[in-house]
Amino acid sequence: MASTYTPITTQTLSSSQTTITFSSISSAYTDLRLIAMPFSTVNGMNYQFQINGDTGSNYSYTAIRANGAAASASQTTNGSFFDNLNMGVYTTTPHIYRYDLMNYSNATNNKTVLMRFDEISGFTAVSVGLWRSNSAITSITLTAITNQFASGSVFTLYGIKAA
Amino acid sequence: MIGNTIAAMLGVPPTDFNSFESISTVTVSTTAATVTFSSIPSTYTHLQIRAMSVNTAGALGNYTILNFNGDTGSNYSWHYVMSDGSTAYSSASSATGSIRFDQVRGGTNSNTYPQSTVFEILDYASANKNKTTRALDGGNGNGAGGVSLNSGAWYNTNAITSIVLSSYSSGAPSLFGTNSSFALYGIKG
Repeated sequence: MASTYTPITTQTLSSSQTTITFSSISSAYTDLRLIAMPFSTVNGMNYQFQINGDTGSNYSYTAIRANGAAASASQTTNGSFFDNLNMGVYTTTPHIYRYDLMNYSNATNNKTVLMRFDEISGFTAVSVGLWRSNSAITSITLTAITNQFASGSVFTLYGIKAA
Repeated sequence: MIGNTIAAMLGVPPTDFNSFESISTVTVSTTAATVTFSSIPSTYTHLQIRAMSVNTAGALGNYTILNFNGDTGSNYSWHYVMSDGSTAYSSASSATGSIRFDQVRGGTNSNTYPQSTVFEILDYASANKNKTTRALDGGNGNGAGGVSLNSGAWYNTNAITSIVLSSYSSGAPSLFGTNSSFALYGIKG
């Protein structure tokens, strides 16, 4: 059988920058998976996730997170981006963030994104996001809300193709 | 380099991209009570189902159950931790007839508020150990939603050769809605 899990592109930062963009995403796959291992220039940096450059109030999400002592729930409706649940990217401790974008190139349905946030120093969390648009996803932008993504941050976008 | 088996367990990509293969996909054209994957080859180490679906029953109380190899006996257990946006809670069942994960969003088709699921079965072809599953599952209706982490077990040492997913709501059979899709992948170790 043919391989169905394909790395599309990887961005490894050699210097600090505020925005990470994956553009001109091929529609050749069924799902997308973005694996991010970000570092920040200052501990506690948060960032936003937007699709196709849409900055309108078209994002909502439901989340659960645990810090080792308690689990908590949260929800945002009519937001202008998916956030990273205030997980706070660190300068040296790596986080692993995973985004699954199902049926991303479908032009008939709104898009659901499964998000998983793991970091060693204190939290684990999952979130499901709804982007209210039936447009095919052709670009993804991660933007630091404060400070910047630091050198050494790695972001890889994969395509997964069903039979 | 990270091994493919470890990568699969961590949920990160395999280092050998030829190790992740598409086995079969089912797309619901109208509605369907069940979705079946049968004659699953034993040539992989793990299985993954990636789904975008909807339950026609309504907005709340929906879930999907899974049975392996046609076994509907009390040979399963499951746990989940879940958020509905305001409260985090958990649930479990043991010696029960299926593995369950909640499917919180309802509707007639999956266009408006699709539910997404990544469901994994570890070491499914082993003939000497019980089987363990896990899932990340969620849906958001722009005002109501849910996300859950699920684990399950099937207390049977047979290799898994078939999987049946059934749509349920509030304890009764329901239907998967139009355009629901379920893709089965194999991951080699």
